[in-house]
Amino acid sequence: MTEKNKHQMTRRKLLKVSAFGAAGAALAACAAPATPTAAPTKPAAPPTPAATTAPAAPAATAVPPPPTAAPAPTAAPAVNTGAKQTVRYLSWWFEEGNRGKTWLSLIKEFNESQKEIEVKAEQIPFDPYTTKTIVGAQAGKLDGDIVMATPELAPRLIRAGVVAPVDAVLTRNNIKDLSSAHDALRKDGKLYGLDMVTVAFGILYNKKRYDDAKITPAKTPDEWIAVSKALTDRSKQQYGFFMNHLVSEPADFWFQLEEWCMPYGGVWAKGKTPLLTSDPIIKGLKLFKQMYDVAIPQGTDGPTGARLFQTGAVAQGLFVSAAVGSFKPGAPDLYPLLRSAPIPWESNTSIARIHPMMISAASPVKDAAMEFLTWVYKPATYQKMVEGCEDVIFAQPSAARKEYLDKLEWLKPGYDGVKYVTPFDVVGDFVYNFNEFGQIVITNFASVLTAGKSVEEAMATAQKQAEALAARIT
Amino acid sequence: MMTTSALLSPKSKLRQTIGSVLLYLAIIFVTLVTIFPVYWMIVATLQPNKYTLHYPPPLFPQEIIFSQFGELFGRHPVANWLKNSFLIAAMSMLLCTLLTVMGAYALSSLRWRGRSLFGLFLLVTQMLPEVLVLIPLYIMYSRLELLNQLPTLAVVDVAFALPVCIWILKGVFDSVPTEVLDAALVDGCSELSTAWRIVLPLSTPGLVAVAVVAFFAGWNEYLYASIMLGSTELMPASVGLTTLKGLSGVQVEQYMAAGLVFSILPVLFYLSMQRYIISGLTAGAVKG
Repeated sequence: MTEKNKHQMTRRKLLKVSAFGAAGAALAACAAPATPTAAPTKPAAPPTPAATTAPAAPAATAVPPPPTAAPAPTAAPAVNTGAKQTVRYLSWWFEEGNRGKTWLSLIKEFNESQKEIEVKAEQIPFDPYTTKTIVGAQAGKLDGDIVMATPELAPRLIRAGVVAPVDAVLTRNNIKDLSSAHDALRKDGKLYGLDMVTVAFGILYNKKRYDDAKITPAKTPDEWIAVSKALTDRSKQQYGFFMNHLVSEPADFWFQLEEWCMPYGGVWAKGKTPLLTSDPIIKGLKLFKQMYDVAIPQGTDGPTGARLFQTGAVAQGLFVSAAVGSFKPGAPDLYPLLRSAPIPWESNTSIARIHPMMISAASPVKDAAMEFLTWVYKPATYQKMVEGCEDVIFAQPSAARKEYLDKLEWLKPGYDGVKYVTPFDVVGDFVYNFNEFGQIVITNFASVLTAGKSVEEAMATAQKQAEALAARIT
Repeated sequence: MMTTSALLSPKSKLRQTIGSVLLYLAIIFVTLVTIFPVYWMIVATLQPNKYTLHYPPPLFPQEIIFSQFGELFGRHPVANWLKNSFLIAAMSMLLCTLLTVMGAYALSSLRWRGRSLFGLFLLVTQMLPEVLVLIPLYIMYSRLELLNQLPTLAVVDVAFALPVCIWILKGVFDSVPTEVLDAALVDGCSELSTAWRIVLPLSTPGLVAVAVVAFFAGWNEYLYASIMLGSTELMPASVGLTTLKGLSGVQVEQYMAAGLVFSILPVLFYLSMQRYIISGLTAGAVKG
């Protein structure tokens, strides 16, 4: 035995010590978890209108045939197993101004209306929410019992088979006028999600800035550039337009850039074929480059850009309708000045995004989750929810109340009477790999904005990369 | 008696002076580049955002306010985020230090086949991105119903910090003189008590360095925390900070204040342990 070996610990002793350590670690790991709790807030007391009138909402409507038989409507939850069932409802919006307040208020109301089910709101920031849900889908089981989805997330979840059909909700509530946007949420005749908010892109502007500059809204893409330029005076910290344009904010950049296929009637892809070098896309991106050069505070990140809009330094921006309501508490001085400009391109078409509520197929409290969804989708509750959130597109068009819509000064003309398409229509099968596709577009387009590359050259590279992506995901 | 500099030729003196100037310029430049983001965070925290959002922004604070801290803590559960971060970091630190001691001792003192290869394998794991095992780990945790628990997240953080920590401590253990250990054995210590009474006290700087590395790993971790914890109540500060970015913008001064608060505890912790960390990280680097 060498000198060194004399004082060495034997392997057996080390294993003993390790075993003790591992047992300690296991005990620590198995310690009782902190109990997640919802954060109930005071009811927001949104208006509860009774009568409904003609819908002003732009969403197309259809009468979906409920494919499955369902139990009769019930006023109270039917599930009763003795113990109170806890339903975890995951979303990114419980801290979003009116929307958060309205949802927490609804959850409280539901929880107090019966004794068998307790719904718990679990707030997750948007970016990690998407990643978390995709990871859950790939793992074959979602975390949470009720999950909210984006238009891109929903088809992934349906295809992964991790969400349960919700047709029974329509039958039980006798709903016959669901928006046709739900067609994208069907598979084999079954419906897998119900829209809780459809948002649409529009151009929102600060009326005071327009009035001060004696400017009227543009009607064509060229006029739009001219108007934005006229509203810009960089030496006085005045900018005509803002939208996300930083590669460091990929989700936000792509989220808004997606709309720029609209001005010249293009689409980013059809099926699995990317169309990044097509004429309408090239022209749309050139339009953006013009806007970037003449009116955008270059290099400004999203939160700062939004803040500049709130302070009046930015005159207009591309905003989804759901964001407008959030300016009410966040920027009360700006809110009364907000107006929407007409869509400045001939087709008068914009992108609308559906956000369905879905139920995890692996949830142990699926029936209880379905009870909550059924309750939320009762026309009266649904109407209260949409109005509380200050949304404008109704998935149940008959729930749209004219008096409510007429009160919203910013609604017309930019968010009203517009023809809508969905992300499914503009990115084809890449909707299943929306972020990966967007990453290709924005990283190449960024070289146009900051490195002086031509749009044609950048999109030719992007096209090849997108084709390779298509080959990988086929 | 003539000094060395007096012996240098004017040309050499000039060269030495230029070298010194360049060196100091480089030091100043690197220091500014390093410090400026922290300085800007402090400035953006303390002054109203109208100054921060102004272009070009003023380099020095134009007005000092502190109300943003009250608003931050009043509107958001920042204290709870910090508590969760601290719990995760503390659990990571304790568990990681415990396991590191055993792992480093095995690599440093025990003789077993494949020891060197295993040591190398530990280093190789550091070359792989964490996201690579995200889905397998999520599946495992989901099936074992270990999601949404702070202790189990700490175990993940430990797993990622462990290889580096083992290598740090192995170097420290290697530097403990064999004679000291022999003396302990002669005095009646068992091998286990030699490790406990002699090796560990002599390796205090290394242990502290390992503890600090593990603490920071747990404190800063974002990806797994955002995926494996679902509840607002369990959210650590690294994830909680992202919730301050709202749909309609962000209160810049609150955002920066949150960043400042999030940074203070680790900085204080690091400063208090700095002496040990440097000697711990360099222990074993030179052996006579």
